[in-house]
Amino acid sequence: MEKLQKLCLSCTLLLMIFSSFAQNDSILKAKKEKYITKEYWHTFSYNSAEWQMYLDSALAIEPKNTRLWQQKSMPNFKSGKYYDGMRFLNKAVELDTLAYLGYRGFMKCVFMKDYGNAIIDLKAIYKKRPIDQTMDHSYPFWIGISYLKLNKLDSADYYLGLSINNALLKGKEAVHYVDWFYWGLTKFKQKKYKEALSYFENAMAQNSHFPDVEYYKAMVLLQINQKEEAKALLVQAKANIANGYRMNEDNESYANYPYQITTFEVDEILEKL
Amino acid sequence: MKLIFFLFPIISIAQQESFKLCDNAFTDKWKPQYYSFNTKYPLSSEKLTEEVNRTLTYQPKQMNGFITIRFVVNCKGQTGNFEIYQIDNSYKQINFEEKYIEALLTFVKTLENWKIGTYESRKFDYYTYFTFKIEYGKVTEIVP
Repeated sequence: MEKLQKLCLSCTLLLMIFSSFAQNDSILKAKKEKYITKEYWHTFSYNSAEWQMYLDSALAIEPKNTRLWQQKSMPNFKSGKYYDGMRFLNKAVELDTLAYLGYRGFMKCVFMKDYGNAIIDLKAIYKKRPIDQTMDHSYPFWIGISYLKLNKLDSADYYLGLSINNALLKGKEAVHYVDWFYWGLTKFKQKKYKEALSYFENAMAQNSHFPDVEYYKAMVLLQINQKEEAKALLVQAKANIANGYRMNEDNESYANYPYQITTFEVDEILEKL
Repeated sequence: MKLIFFLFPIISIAQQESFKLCDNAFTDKWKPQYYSFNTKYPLSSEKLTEEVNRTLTYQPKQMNGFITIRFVVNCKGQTGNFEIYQIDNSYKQINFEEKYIEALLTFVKTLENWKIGTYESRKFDYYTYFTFKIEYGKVTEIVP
């Protein structure tokens, strides 16, 4: 009888433990569903305290979820708060280098204009994933424009050429017009005007409303004394800007791309002509 | 105007007495930003960099890193509610010389061509910022 009582007690205890586990499991599943699967933080503006708070709730469940770290980082970059931005992004890179190193290189290049450090990340990921891209462009493209901003023109020329020549293997239409624009800009700075004009024309053939390329093509034309053609292009660039056309690139609304122009720069030259 | 510096977080707030927000659009949950209205300052980053270096007379060689001046542009195009964030080249928090920050702040306050944040005919106050990348006392880049 005593044995039977003990057995019953043990069974009850086991049932209670299992039931508690099952209950905890279902609470965890519900929390995961709310905070992670349904991305509850997206209910709020990404500049709100709630955005960060609900990401913290999600990270309490999945501390190694790299997307959560990236999501914590991103609003900080868009406010110029790089200490926190980089702190959170570094966590993502630490947890999944292959997925986030290129993105960090892009953030350093476009959002911080920290070109030297961008090149370090971008070269490292290019070595590991040579055919991957970030934000619609190859790693050599981002390395190339970083060198361009550092005024290391031979290196810029090499990497932008590499980006374009790799794309050309798939056909001319595979080359992004912004790649042509920056390679043309590099040639212009190298005073290789014939090549600069040719690359700018390639960019314009793909996008006829691209004021930046019109402006820099006009700069080349002025160098080779084609003043009237230059003036016409500047007028066209000004009209395109007035009609809302600008560099159509990922994240351009947050940060200017290298050498991106405004109406001011166009007017400044037009006034002199 | 008075600058108040705190150690951590390294934020200083400079208030212009005359500056006023125009409406109650800012809430804890929603703070309009420059990119909501496509209102980056209408000068290229390169031209702004050129301008700031032209006006900066104090460029000490030991200054390296990033200074962000974040502020509000109200619906009249006036600026105020300045916040300062500072990091070094390794992205660690530091304190730049107050004199240097004041010079950058003065430069920001001279900019007058701010676009007004407008949505469906309503004018809004919005947050914006400039980050100055500094190498040996000279500004080499300006974000955005």
